[in-house]
Amino acid sequence: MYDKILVPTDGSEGAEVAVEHAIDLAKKYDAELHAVYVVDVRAGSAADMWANLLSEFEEIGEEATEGIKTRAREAGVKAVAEVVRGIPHREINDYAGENSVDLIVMGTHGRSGLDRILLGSVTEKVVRTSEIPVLTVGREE
Amino acid sequence: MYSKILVPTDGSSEAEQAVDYALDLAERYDAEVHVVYVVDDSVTPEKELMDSIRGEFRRRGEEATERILEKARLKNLETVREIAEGVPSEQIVDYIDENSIDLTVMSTHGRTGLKRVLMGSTTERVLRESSSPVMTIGPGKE
Repeated sequence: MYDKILVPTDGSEGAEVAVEHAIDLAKKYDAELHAVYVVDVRAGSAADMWANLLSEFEEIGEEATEGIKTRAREAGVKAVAEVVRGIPHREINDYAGENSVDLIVMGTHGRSGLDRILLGSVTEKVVRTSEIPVLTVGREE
Repeated sequence: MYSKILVPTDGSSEAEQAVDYALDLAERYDAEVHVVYVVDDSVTPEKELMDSIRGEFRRRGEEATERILEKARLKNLETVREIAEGVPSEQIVDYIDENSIDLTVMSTHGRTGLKRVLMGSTTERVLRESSSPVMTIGPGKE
């Protein structure tokens, strides 16, 4: 049912909890894990305001995705890491479409998350627009 | 990671799109499948009217849940069925907490869904308030 599982990350703790579920599912379904970080380059985004630091955001993204890739491989799961630039929810959906991803696993709370009543805005947009199943994982309580 | 999987249904074909996903996960994880239908008592504030239509709703709920239970039994999965009454999203969230559900699988659009643009309000509330992971199944590629 799932050959490719996408786990978008913003490097936050909220995204980390989702990673555990994504790795476990990939193992159960013998699927390939795709860890993706999107450098948000919209006007007004942090990366836009600090354009000279764009490479730093890419580095943060590389560190986050490579970290997931390493964890996945240690668990015996094939994995790839990717850093892209754009508008997060669009890039996530585009990546899923272009790479024939079957399932997206995301945290409900990203970097700007408040509490469990609020859904991360990127996660909410992906849930609303995704053509494929989305597993949302909150903070473990 | 998932030993109890919940699949709520309102009897619609949209809700049932989630069933195959839920059962497949239950097979992989050897999980117990919980099927819940909620008699929505917010459809009318008139107690007498609600009393007169309650039986019909329960019958529909039993039919809807039975269809899912049959599919689950064909896969030799353990099943639990519940017909609850109240506001659907609240009943589902309570059910998740009270039964230590590890994963809930729901369609993004329910009976009243307008496809794609709007997420079903029940699904949206469960997604926001559930204490455990929720898998949402979209309308699929068109």
